[in-house]
Amino acid sequence: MDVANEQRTGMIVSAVGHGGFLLWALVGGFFNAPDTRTTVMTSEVSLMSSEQFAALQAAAPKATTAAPDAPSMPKAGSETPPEPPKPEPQAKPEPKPTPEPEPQPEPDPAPEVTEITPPEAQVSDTPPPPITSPATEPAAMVSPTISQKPKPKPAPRVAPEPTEAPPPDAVVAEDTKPQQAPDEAAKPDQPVEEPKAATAPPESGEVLKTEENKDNEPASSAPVASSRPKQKPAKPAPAKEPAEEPAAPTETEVAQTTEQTGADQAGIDSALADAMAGEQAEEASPGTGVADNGPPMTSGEKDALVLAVKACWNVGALSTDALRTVVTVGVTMGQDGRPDAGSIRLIEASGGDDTSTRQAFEAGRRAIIRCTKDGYPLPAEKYGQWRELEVVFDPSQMRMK
Amino acid sequence: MPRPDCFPYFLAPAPLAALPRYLVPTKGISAMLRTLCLAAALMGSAALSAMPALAQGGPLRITITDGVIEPLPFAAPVFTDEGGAGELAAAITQLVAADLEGTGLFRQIDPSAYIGGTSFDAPVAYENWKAINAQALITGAVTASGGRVQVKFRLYDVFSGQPLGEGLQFAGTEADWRRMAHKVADQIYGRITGEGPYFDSRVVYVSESGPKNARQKRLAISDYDGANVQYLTDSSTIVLAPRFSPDGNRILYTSFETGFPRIKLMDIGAMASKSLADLQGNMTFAPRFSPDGSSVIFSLEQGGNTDLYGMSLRGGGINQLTNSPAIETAPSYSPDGSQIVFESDRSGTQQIYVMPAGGGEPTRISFGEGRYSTPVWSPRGDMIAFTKQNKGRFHIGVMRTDGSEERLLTSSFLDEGPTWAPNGRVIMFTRESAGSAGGAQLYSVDISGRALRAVPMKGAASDPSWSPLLP
Repeated sequence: MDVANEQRTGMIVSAVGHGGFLLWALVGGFFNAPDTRTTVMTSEVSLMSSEQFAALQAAAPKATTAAPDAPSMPKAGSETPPEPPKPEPQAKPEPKPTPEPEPQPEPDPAPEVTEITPPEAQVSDTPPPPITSPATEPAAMVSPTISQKPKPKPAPRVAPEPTEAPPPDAVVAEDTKPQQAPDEAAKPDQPVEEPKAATAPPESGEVLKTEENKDNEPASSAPVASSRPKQKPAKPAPAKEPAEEPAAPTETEVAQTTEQTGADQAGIDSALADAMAGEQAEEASPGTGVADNGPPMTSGEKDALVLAVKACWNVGALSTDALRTVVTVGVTMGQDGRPDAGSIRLIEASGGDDTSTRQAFEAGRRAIIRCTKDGYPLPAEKYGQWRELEVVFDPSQMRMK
Repeated sequence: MPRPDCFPYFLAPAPLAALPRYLVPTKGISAMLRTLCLAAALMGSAALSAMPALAQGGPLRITITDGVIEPLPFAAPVFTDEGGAGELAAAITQLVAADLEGTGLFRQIDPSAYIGGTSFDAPVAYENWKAINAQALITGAVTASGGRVQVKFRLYDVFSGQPLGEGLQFAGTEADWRRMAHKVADQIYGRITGEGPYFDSRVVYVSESGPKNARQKRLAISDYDGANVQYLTDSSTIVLAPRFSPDGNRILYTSFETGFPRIKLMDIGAMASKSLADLQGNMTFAPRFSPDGSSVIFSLEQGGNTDLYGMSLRGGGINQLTNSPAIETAPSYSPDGSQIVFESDRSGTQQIYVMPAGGGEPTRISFGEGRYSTPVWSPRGDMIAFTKQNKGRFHIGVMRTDGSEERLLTSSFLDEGPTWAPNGRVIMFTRESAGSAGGAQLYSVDISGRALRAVPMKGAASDPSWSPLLP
């Protein structure tokens, strides 16, 4: 009986003790979680300078040993919701959480642990996690900047040609940005510089320099107007023949941009090409009807002729009235590509009186004759096409304002 | 959805310039469809534009919209001495070339590059001139005897191998050789550019001497290029703002003879001047002739308020043209005499206004940044020159008479007081440099903004007024 009583009392004591232990474990588990939260909160509030952090690292050899425990804590506390870890601790990990809250009720098992806990309680441990979290915060700061960079990246894609145009700021820049991506991804600065370099030449070349605007170009309208023409000379490079008339140049641009936009648009490109080919075929068939003429002039050949003539069209000595006069000059060309000077005649004029028309015509005549020392670059096999030439001299863009 | 998007592209070929914007997005099908729509639209427009070309089947037609702007190179071999001219022939040739080069529109080819000799009557060897890229050729001959000088010249368009206009000759006294050279240059200038002549003209201005704080001023008159200076007044009193009459025989100016600014009228031939209006105790200034020379318009200050007044020179009273508490000054007639441009600060800052010549409601025409002053109507009637002060710098500029197409030609520490050449193509103005040692100088500039250069006046000069073309 004594033994039985003793066993029973022992069992009762043990049962009560274990039950109480379990209750404490449950209650302590709840208390522990809020504690860690609060510690995390305090850690966030605390301001750590780099010097303090360095000092802590130097003074925390012990903390480093304790640290491995701590990181597991912050991980659970920082990111993963506190609740999921709880169910698991209930099964086994109880001993670990218990030591911290329980030092008071059970001094015996705890003593060793208590030594460890104070450092944790002293925040020496918790600070490192906060530091890591601040570290993550700057990382978060960095990430937005990184996320900003990608924006410029997609923008710069189509850069190379448009960069000459963008002198105006916003709208054009948006268009050009996408073009620059293929070239260089992470250099947002360079695209900015390139447009600047590009803006200067058009303004210096096509806007009349006066003392007032030679240094800076406050005139806002000029660059816009001057930028467009620049792109035209660039077209020959793609050498896509589709371009034939004012509408055509834009088509070539379309083709280029579509190529760069991606594989999806390769189909578009080919569709464009097919369409253009079809158009050319239509144009060619009536042209071939006349045997002498040969095939029609391509836009490249026309452009070459335009370039040759305009290089000699000097409007610098024209009156302001003559600069408002559009003249159409007709000329008969020889087979060697030289104009018959005697055949140069005024076909029509608009916008000026007799005097200004005469000046404009004479300037056009000089332009046609002057640049033909070796003949114009015209395809001999198409002589029939260019034997009779009409040149429209339109100085409206050259007029000073 | 993409379907309706398609239509605008068909309907409006104008937005072609905005193409890249629609092509940039790479968002899958919609972008593709848009692009296809564009392509279809482009082909449609291209086909349309190709139609006329196919239909006419005529001469190849190209359009040149941009050329080059550079001085036209010309050759001017020394005029032939056809008797007694001596060094005068070379001097006249040089002056003709200098006139042309001074416009900024021409460039003389170095005579050492000329191939072969020339004679006034010999046929022109165009190839020789083409070889040195001369686009115009000037040949001439000078005859001098008994104080009389005769100058002949011809002008050729080298590359077309044709003379430009007929040969001409001028005769005059040996003392007037500069005027004859100017006349030759005027002819050449007009035949090539189409602009009116202006070399044979004079300028009246204020000749200055002494430091800024004790400057002495007197009226002077000279050729447009600074030669043949004559002084019209002594430096005993300060004089301001001389203005030529339309016939070039009289000058209006403002004198401080009485200690008060007062308008005076001078007859150049008689060198005699008289006060214009007997308005004791009132300041009168900024006078200018009407285009017919019969009346004068000026500013009159009364009781601290300045307004514009007109006065007949044939013995009439004065009539008030403006009546506002603001300051109205610097009036200038349009060449047809129907309108007056002037400056006023009625808006708070100096701006340019235009009103009917008889007075009436003014219309403001200057709306840019800064302050506008001293408007002057071009003798051609198409533009107004002005002084503009903005951000601490002065500019001479031109605008159309409705205020559009404003264009600043110069920029410096202090530019002011524009005056038009008789042909309305060139502007002369005063440029003053900074500092107590700075001086005023006359400059001229083409209304394109090119050919800015100092007029080689003798000493400091300001307030120029360009005469009409001499008879």
